[in-house]
Amino acid sequence: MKKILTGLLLITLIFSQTSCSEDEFTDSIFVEKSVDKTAFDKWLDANYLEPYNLDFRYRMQDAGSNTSYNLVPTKLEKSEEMAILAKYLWFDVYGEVVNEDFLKYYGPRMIHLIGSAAYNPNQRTRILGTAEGGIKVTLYDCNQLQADNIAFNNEYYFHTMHHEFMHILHQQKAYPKEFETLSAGYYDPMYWQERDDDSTPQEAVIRDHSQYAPLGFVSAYASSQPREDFVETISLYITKSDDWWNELLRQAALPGPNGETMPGTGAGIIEEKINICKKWLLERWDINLDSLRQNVRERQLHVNEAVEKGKAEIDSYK
Amino acid sequence: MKKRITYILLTAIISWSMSSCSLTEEDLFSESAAIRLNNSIANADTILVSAKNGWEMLYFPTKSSAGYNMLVKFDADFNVTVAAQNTLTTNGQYKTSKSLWDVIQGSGPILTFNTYNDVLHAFSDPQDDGVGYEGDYEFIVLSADSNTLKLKGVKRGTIIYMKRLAKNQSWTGYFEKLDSVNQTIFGRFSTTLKLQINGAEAFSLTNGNTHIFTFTPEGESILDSGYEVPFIITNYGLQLLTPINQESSSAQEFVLSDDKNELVSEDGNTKIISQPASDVLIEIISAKKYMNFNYSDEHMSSIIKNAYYTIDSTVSAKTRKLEYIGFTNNKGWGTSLAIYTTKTSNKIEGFLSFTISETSANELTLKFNNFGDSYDKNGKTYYDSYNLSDFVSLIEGEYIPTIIGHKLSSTTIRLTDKNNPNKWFDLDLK
Ligand SMILES: [Zn+2]
Repeated sequence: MKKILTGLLLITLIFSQTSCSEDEFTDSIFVEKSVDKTAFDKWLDANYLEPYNLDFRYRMQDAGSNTSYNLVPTKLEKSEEMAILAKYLWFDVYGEVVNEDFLKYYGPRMIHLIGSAAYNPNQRTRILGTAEGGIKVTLYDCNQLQADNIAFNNEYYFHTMHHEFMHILHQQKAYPKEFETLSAGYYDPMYWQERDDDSTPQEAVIRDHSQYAPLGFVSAYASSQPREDFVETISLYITKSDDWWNELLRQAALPGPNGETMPGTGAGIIEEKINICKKWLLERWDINLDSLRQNVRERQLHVNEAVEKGKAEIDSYK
Repeated sequence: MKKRITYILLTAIISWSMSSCSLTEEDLFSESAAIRLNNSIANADTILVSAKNGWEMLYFPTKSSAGYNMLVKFDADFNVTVAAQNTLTTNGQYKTSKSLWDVIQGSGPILTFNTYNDVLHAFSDPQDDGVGYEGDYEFIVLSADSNTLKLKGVKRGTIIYMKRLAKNQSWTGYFEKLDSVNQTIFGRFSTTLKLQINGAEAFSLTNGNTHIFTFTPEGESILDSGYEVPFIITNYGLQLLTPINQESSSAQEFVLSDDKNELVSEDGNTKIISQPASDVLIEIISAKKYMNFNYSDEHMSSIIKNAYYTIDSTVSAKTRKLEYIGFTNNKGWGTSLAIYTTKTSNKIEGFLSFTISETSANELTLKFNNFGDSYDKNGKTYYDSYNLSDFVSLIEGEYIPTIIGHKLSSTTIRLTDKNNPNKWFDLDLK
């Protein structure tokens, strides 16, 4: 396409030359400016484009992003770390636990990195990720990535990646209707954020879950609507520590914020939801959720080595 | 490996839209939009990289914010270096940052800074409130030649110019120059300036030190008719965000005159000038600042100096120290002559009510209001027992005021007695 256009451009120039009486266009010089790929671009080709047919877009195109937010691009260094870690804690996990081709078929076609969060000041919420049409995953706030802070990264990025990927999967094969019945009547798409604990960082192990856990939800966002509940349950199950889960279940066993007592307590409902998720993943996708979780946990212990190794790989393309 | 074919052409082609050959223009515009687009992308790339010392970017985050200068150097390998020095985003320190750039195809060629640059994106980062300074980092290239690019922010629509930086201009020196230009225009106290069109005063310009002028049409009130016009300091003067179009003349760029006393538009028809000296003095005093006597040979004639000396020695004889005498606007006593003396931690300021009035065009009258029903007791003590009375009767009178130094920003006003050229003194902003 580009070649055709430049060909026409040449014609234009010649045409201009002949139609102008003054001889001012004869000094044109024709050169080629090469846009060699950077080492990082080559690494992305080898690790995303070739194996997964995935466009890992770290150069932000705001014109194509949501224009109602003020967004900025990601720092190059953070993009590199994000690309390395997404491969290590997401793509390689499915390669090992399911099979090499799984994400090639079902994975996203594009990952778009955004440097800042998408803030909604009216709702006091921030978008951490989006999955569009089952093919594009957008990850926000990437400039805050802290390569050595696993709890933080888990909450903001890896939890988000698994969250968005589960959206992609359930958009292709619906999850069981039964899931939606367990906390029916307690979903609140408008005011779910009021249930969150504002006073504690999202990544903290000990948080106040009292506004949603007794109702059978793993997070405030899970209580917004069933499909978010479904992907939150799986993604938090994969990424959160045992200490975090034990604390969640302890609080889930207590009465609800308005004295609600759920059949079998909120803890029982959460366990039941996890069982539905496990069954769906195994029967519909041939994925063992506990193996996935085990694999991610093992890898989380070696994040720093993975980043170092990835950077060395990128350097090797220079 | 992907190759992009680019043309380097001499300036005649690069700036064809301004070419004198009208046939060429018609021919080019009869081609499809896609061809022209691709053509201009190639041009923009080439032009951007061609400035070996980079570009001066006159950046306005939004249409209602002050302008901020950046220097931007584009490399052929799509690295870009951006520098800035301002109080908003770099804490007054010179700062540079490297990132990537590209020219992509949108509804026209779009210059984008598509990885985070600590300097440039500081104006776009939503920060903690989700808003930040709301600046663009994707720009539609409206026009490009080898000296100037006219850009338009994709989201905010702000017009941003980039001008080729001279080869020998050091980057830190550029920001030093801006600071010096800013000092020359706004100095320590930003007084009202006047915008003159074809010799007639058309607007009052206030709040200049914020780099957002408030324009008030002459003879109207700032409340009813004032409106804001952001601008940016350049290394030769200043440039308004949007041109003022008045009486068939249009002015946007203003250059400091050689004597640094005024800013003149390109066509010479529009000027930004200072107010008359009397108005400058009255404005500073009304702002409750001090305009003090400067006790030295260069700043007062001998008649005044002798009277000042008498007070100084009287104060010394009473083992106190004379700190200053000057004019100010005091909360309790209004426009006053203030005198301040100290003795270790004992500090006493006294005020004598004065009237400073503009009696005719650039003529001032200083008048002591004497002691009425209420007065400042300290002022009266200084008047009665420290020989201030002689000084007061000496300085009462009619004066011709003049601005000493660069007129736009000077805060030194010389008052010369209307009838006695040997009686004069300077008042300096404290
Ligand atoms: Zn979701």
